[in-house]
Amino acid sequence: MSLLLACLPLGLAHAAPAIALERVEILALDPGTWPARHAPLVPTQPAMQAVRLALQVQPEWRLGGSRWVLGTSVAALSVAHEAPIGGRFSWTAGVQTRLGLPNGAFAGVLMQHGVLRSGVGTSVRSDATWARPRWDHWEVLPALSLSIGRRPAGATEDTPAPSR
Amino acid sequence: MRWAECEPGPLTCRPGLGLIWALLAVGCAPADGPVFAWQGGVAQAPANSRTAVGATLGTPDVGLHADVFLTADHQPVLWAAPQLDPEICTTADGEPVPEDTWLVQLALADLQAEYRCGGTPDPRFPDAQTRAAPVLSMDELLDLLEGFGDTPVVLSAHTVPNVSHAPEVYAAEILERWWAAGAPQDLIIAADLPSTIAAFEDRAQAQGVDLETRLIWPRVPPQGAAWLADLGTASAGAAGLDTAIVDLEAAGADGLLLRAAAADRGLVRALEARQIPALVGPVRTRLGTRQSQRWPVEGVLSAWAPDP
Repeated sequence: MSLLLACLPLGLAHAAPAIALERVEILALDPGTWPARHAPLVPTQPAMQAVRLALQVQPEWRLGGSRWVLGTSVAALSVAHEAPIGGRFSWTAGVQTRLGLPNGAFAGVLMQHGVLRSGVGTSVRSDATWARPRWDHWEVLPALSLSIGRRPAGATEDTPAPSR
Repeated sequence: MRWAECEPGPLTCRPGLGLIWALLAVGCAPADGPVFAWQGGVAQAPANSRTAVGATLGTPDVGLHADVFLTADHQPVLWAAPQLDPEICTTADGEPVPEDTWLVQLALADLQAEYRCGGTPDPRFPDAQTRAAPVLSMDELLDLLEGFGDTPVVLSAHTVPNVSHAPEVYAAEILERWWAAGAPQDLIIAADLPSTIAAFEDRAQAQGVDLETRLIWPRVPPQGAAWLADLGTASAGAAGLDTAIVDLEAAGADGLLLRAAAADRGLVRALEARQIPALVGPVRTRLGTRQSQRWPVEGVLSAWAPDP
């Protein structure tokens, strides 16, 4: 995993001309903590949970027109693979990090509705941080995804993710 | 590792993401965790007052929380800040209190003779009962605690560098009084500075006493905006730069008192998995109290003491 991250800058540099902002995840599968952990606290701490929501909003960048996407939020930096299942559906799976420190993975099924995309999945994550890089506690969370953005190049209503 | 927070059971969690999500949203564990009346139950009576403490001690199964500050003559009093609060205090004659009325410059006798607090509504809880009274001393608190041996007590020791007495003075004055009174209650000392935690731990160790301490996390600096501290904590926590556990280990406390705004179920579960005791608070609403009572914590510091 560390090797993957070490190689990431090289890969990004190679793919830089083709990196494109594809969408913004209002709710992201990674880290996936907001719906389960923080949404229930909105009635009592609306401002703090709004901040936490903003921290996980994730611009998503497609790498070189491939099936690989890079997610960049304060709460998580992630690399994920997306591929079509059929119809409006696609699947995604990826590695999530906290400022580059690998701390888990996520996977989900996504459904396209025009420029909107929703999804459900799961996020498996530890609470390892750069201040305390220990992977000794893990949690599995149900996660939701809701994003808005341009449709991937070449995608149709029935094939939301590009194929190469 | 569990799927969500629900214990498997026929009526709680069943397979199905939608149901699990719905149960997570509303909370599926019973809201029956221990409650400590924060500042004696500040939503119902003046903070840290005789009225508040008396009401809490009359409520079964509710612990007591109080703040402690030291006067000029090293007398512990139930107060949370270096200064008297002009919004809720007056002079004994009913005149406004100057804003720079420092407790560290007042002897206990002068403080109790010249000032009254709690007679005007607390802006945080305007519907709370009001009653003007002298600031309560710790000796008076110990008298009130007699006969309530089952009531656990959390004392927040408020030391402020260059403003209050040294942490070692706090540890000596508070613990020696507690031990001299032979108070049978379970005592937890909470503080937001590692040096304060260390002073209490050292004092207890020197006496061969096992004292429970909790680090208040995250720390809000004096005169600092709590919301700014919470924002910083949320940002740093999200980015993985800081954790409560790192600060706890550095401070050497036995557990954490998590500020409510910084706490969530994931954090308290991570602490539970590591067998680190955690209090959460202060929680200012009844709904927030019920939510926090569903978490695996040793207690919730709530402004609302449950009705007897």
